[in-house]
Amino acid sequence: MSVLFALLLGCDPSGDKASGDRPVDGSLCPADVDVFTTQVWDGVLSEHCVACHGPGGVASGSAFALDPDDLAASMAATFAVVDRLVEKPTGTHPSGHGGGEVLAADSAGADALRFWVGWIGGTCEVPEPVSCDEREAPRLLRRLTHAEYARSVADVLGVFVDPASLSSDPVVDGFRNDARALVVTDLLADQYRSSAESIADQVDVADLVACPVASGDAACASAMVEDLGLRLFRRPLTQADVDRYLGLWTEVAADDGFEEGVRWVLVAFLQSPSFLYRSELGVQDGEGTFTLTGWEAATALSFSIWGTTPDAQLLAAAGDGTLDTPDGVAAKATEMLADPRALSTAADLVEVWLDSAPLASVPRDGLSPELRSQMLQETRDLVFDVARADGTLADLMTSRTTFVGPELAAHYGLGETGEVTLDGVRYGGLLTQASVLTTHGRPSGSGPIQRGVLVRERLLCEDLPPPPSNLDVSPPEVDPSLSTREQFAEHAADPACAGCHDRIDPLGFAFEHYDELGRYRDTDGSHPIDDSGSLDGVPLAGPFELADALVADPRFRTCFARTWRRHTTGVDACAEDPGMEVGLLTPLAEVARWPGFRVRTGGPGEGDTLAVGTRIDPETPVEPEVGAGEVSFTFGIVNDWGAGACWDGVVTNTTTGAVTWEVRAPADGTVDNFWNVALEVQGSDWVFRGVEWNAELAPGAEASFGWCTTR
Amino acid sequence: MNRRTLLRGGAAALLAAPFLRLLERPARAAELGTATRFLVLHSPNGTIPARWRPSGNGAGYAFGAGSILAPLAGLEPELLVLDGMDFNTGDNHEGGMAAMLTAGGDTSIDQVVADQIGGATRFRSLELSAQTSAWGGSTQTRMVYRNGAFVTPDDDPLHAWTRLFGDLGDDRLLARRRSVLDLASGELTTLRDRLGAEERLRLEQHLEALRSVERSLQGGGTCESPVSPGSMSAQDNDRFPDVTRAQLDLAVQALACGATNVCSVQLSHTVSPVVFTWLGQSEGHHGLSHADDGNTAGVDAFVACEQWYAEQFRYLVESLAGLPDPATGAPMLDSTVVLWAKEMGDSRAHVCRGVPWVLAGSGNGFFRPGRLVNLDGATHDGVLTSIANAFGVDVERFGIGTAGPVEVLR
Repeated sequence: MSVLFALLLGCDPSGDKASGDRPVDGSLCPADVDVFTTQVWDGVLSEHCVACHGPGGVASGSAFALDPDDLAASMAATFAVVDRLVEKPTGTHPSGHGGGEVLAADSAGADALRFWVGWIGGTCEVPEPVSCDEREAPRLLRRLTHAEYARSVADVLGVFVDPASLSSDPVVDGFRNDARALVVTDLLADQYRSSAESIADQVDVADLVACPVASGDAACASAMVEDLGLRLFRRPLTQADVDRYLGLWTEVAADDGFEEGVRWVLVAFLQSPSFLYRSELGVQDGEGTFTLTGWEAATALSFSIWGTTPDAQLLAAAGDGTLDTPDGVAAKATEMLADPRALSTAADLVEVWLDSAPLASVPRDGLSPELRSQMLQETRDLVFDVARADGTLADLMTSRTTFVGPELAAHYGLGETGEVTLDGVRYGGLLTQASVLTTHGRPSGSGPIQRGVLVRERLLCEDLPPPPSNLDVSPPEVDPSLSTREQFAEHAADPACAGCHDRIDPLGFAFEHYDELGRYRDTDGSHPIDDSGSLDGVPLAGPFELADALVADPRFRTCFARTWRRHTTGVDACAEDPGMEVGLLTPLAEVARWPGFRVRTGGPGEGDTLAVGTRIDPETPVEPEVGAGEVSFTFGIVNDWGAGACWDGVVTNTTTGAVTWEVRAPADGTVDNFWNVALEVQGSDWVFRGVEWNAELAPGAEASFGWCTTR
Repeated sequence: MNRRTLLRGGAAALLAAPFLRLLERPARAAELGTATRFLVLHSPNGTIPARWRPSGNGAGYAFGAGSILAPLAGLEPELLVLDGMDFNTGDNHEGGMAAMLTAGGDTSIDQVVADQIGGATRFRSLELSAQTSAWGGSTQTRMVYRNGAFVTPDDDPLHAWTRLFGDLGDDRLLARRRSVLDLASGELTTLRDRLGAEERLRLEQHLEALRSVERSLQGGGTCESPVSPGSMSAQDNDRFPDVTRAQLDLAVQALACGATNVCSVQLSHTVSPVVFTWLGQSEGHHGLSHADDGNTAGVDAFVACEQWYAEQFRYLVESLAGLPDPATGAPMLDSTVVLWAKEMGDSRAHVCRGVPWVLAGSGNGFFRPGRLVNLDGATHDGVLTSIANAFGVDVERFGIGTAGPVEVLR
């Protein structure tokens, strides 16, 4: 759970203030309306509520009427609905909410409303916002996205996998890498199976082993398990890992020989959770938090910056301790950002930001597969060009350079192909690219609503409620002889629609010079084009003025940084305005320097994960005192920070019957906490016994547990 | 009242409740049905009620010429057409899609039925679909839920055919695959036991998925495998009719072969962008679904789309009616419950009231088809309760609804 507010007890919450009393101006508490403005209006009501509850909005007649020009009145409106102020927008009120769920129950916005309800109830604690860099980051297991899976397979094994052959990843707010939504369903598990078998069929086993295939033996197989395992699991295998996979090899090789055994080990590697999930679990660092191991840091850096699995050089850096410090990680990130592979990540980011991936399948007349791919490539090439030159977000929005394939050049009516300089009148910058305008539009005509929504939701990171239900919002009958703009203007004239469409349509109208395939047009049917529009009341015309207005708008730049952050972390959406001169890749560099990139928090009772870090030292096996000969016990330090250490232990039942186990080890320091085990000190020994679910072990089964100590 | 009498009173109250339930039980149990197969079809974007509603009422109903359901003419005796049914929860496209099969709960009706009757089949349930994935998985694009998580449908008929009817290989191959799955399961279990609750839940789901895979790899079907649908560009808009037909065929074949008893076929998703180019159209289905009555060309185009969907439902029902139940020799339709579910009522108003559902098949006599039934505002959680009951699931309510079974369906 992330902490959204630190409570600042700047004023005396008890004082003379009785419950229900309003804090009084001049008292120790700040003025209500100031607190309202900074804590509730800005960023919450002004972003999520005013569209419908503001003047002219569909809910302006409800008990909760807001007015951006009169915040005192807006504040008074919250008093009237204090009993439902949180429940309505979070979709948890029994009678529902006409606008649906506009705030997640665990969002910062919902927390702000909860704070305000408490304030109205008489508390006097003003939350001090926690800066993005101070926010906690959760421990995570992140399933590889299909793109990450395919790139990992290509990098390690040289086999091409079409990501589309796996059932599509979930999309949350436009992101396909939402850590909590990436799960393995029945269908995907089967696809992983068939994909793994097909990949194993395509590899040349000679490439995977360090011995001639014809004379391959168990030793060679064991080396293969360690080497290939390291590259696929992005960490060294534990002895238990090696034993398991070598066991599989032995079983298969006995029937079908060395080569087939290697193939099945690969099949198993590719279905292992150690391959399919990126571990960002860390190990206990003695500070109550968890720090990513060097291997995990290498993995996080590699997927974040290069979009793929760590290469040999990064794995070497993980192995030699380079990535065990914040400075080491930051330095490595800087180095990696200079590599051309980072450009591709920037292009992916822009695709996510603009939500242009659906272009590959969006139905449009006259859109050949070649044209679709050249449109997407144009955007990628522009990003490459700007990022390669250390360019800024502003450069991306206003560039006069572009890159067009032959079909796209003809489509735009340009006389040349390849790198082209645009006129800045018809075409120029990201917003006039056909990939953007085609994806966001209607199958025929232009599509001011879709394009306005693109600007609001994707480029400004603002929420727009869906059209309210229980209200007939079908567009009025349109006169086909009118221009698109006139048809939509009529539609937005309806007061029920205006609340939202006044925020959407004036942005969309700026794109009226572009048809459904992003081609510049001089007329809309018989009508001359009017591309005047506005951003929150400030007039502008055409996409070039819109681009300038966006670049000057902190919301736009913050949204860009926020998109990077979420794209990188898979969860966090916090960002601050990176400023006018923000480079295309700067926010990514910032994420790698953010403390939460390395240091994670976990829930109570969470333990370390076996095998995320250092190989368990097998040199200190201890003969069990009880049930001798029935179990094996290995343990070792997984993290040592001098003043203390965390340990992992594994008990394995080596007999052919079930056992209830107890093992001992010489005590070494004071035990602070332990998990998945009952631990007590007897004299100079630690005595370990199983807990409910691992006290009794089936033959061959193992119990893994851990503990941390101070010296 | 002294302490002793209080205790006695409490004890009596405690005893009375289960006793009452026991008395009621035999009567309830007799009402629980024994339908043997469940098939859900979904087509998106609501309807236009005036163009959808059949004429007449009860057994004397008919599909008007030119209406959305006109393609179902002749099938009247097999169908239960539900008019006036509201969703108990959910509004608008996305809310309707989420509530359609769940009634606000975390598990959809097909999965509840699958837990009841899917135990012995290779696939506890089978989820097939046409073009649901270009936008990724989201509450807009998914309808099947299990414990709050999406159950992903298979958009690719060839892949689905391979899972169902492809060569499963010999015992040795099966043994290898099991070894690999066991290995992954072991690692997942170890990992799961060391994590916090949230991460643990996701690994639990992965473990269950591996068990499903293992089960699906064992034991072939009971009938010859049908011809492979071949490779097709399953996400190509113009192939939508081919993908749909292939998935409907696979659904029927999977049921006929006993590979599964529970199957859903999801055709696109709410806010569907599919353009019915094969009907000569150029506007997306979602755009057309919001055409107002003044826009007669738009309304007619939307009705044509909806008639096409009705034809797909007809094809499904006729396919089931034309195949013998392997157990009884009677038409498969008789032992099956088919549900054609939509996620909204009037698409122009974005409402989940008057949502037009059609049932086919009696489920071994549990339902009484051959009627147009006006539910008069009854909520769909009640219909889902009745469907659960038809398969012997002993529940009195469904999702977060409280309506209870809809007796008029029987």
